[in-house]
Amino acid sequence: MATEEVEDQVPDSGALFTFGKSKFAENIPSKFWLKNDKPAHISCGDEHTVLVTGNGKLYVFGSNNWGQLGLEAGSAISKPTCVKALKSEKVVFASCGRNHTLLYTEQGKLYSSGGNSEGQLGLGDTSGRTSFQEISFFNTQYKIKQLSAGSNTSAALTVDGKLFMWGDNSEGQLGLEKEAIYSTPQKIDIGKPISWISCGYYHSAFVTQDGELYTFGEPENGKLGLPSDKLKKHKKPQRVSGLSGKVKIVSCGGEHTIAVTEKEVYTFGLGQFGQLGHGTFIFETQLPKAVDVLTKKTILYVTCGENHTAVITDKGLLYTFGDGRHGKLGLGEENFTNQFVPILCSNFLKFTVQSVACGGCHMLVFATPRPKESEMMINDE
Amino acid sequence: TADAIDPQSTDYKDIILVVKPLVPEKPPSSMIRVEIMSLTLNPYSEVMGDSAVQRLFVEFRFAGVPPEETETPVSLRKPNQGEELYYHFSKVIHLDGTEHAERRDFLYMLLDGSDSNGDIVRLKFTVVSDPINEDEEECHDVGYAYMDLRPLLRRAEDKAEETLQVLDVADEEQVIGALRVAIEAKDAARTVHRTKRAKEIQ
Ligand SMILES: [Mg+2]
Ligand SMILES: [Mg+2]
Repeated sequence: MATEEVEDQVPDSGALFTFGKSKFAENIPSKFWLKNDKPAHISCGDEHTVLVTGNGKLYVFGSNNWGQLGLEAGSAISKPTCVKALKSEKVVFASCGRNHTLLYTEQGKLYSSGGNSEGQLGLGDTSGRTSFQEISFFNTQYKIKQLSAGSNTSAALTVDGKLFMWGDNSEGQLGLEKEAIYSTPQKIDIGKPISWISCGYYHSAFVTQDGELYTFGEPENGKLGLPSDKLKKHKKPQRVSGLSGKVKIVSCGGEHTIAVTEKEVYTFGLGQFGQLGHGTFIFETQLPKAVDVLTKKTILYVTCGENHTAVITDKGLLYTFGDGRHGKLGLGEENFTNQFVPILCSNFLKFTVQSVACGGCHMLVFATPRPKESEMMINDE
Repeated sequence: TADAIDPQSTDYKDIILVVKPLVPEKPPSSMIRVEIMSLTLNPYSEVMGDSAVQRLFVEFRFAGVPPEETETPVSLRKPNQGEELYYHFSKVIHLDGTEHAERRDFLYMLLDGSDSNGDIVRLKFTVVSDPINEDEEECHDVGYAYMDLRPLLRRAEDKAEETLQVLDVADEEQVIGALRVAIEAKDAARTVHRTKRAKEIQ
């Protein structure tokens, strides 16, 4: 494992850009790439970050006080470090929760490491782990297409639309009504296949293959997008209405939610820092409200940090909004402010943004250089 | 194939390339950071009842820094009862170089608490009403808040967070709200203070 300093010439395979309190490069906005490999998948937890490469390697950095990096517990890791313990298994993707990490390998195995106070590691107990442990429940019998880790919750979604969740259910954030914690994976079944899952800090949401949005968990501040009379059943997945077009993607933050339909981008919940993107007059909304600034754009991806939001358009441009502390919105080197509408990240005008991940106080962006001739065609509209 | 290679022996492949910083890192003593965090207004204050006041921004003044750089870029709608308005506006002020002598002098005065005439000097924040109809109405000051920087030199912790009283513009005996601010300036404060003192002794 080595680190070299290079000139500012991002290779065609792209670079990873860090913003905010990433623990990397002393929290100064920075970029890095791999000499003989390329990024494939990224995820941010509250204070940690993982990068899965095209060769199936897992790189981690950030806080490791709970063993969430799978490198024994200890002080924060300030450089992307390869997790060797998985031996020859290739990692396909991973998801970081507040203080734990889930990953899925090419062999079809699911692993977890980190905090386990609410059974979020899925290992049948509540003892933390400081290296990746296989969740035996899955036992290579499911083909997983998405993982999501929340505050103390975990979810795995299969290619054929089966959803499993485990961990903290004290607010019904697993969509189950009985127990306060489930330390082994539970099937969440609403009678139709599911296509997208997101675990927030204390609430969760999924999208069905036919494009319906369901939310559950902590009911406060409108983050479930449900009318008041439905909030008493917050421990059950309930359908969110009032969205125009089929829902494609949902992401849950600390106190807010963002959902993308074929037509619009909707946000709801608390937006005291601007994370709803509804401007400087609306700081909370109980029901889904379309984000005006994004109406005319085609959105490929959205994701929430605890209190900020990031959006990628079909042109590969990145918009961010919400809490601007520590520079996590990627909008300035040293002067920051909260943003109440989506702001174009001009850092990436010469790049195609491939993916973005938001944590508690940081953001990671994977972007590839735009071919020279196409740079001229990019504008804000 | 790659699978056949022992991962322990492939360290040479795992090289992370980090971009060199374009400009050399400046020492923390060459700058300070001021942050306007949030504002609350007393529900019974006159400004809360004043329908002409609809949006508010906050600014501070630092000698030698253009005033447009030290105001929150957004105006937020007047808070509802008890609501906190979060600006999280964070501004770095560079103090190094000959061109910034005025800033260093100002910081020295703030740390000393008075200017050469013995008049009190504190870091002044202003809460400003930003009318929605900018053609018909003008911005006007609503309240002032003052931060005393004298304790800065004695503080062990950097990033001093403080909740300042916001005083009514028309009557500075009246508290109309609270402004949360933070300042990171310990290293710069010590440097400026030491340099200034050394000159005075000469
Ligand atoms: Mg929790
Ligand atoms: Mg002005």
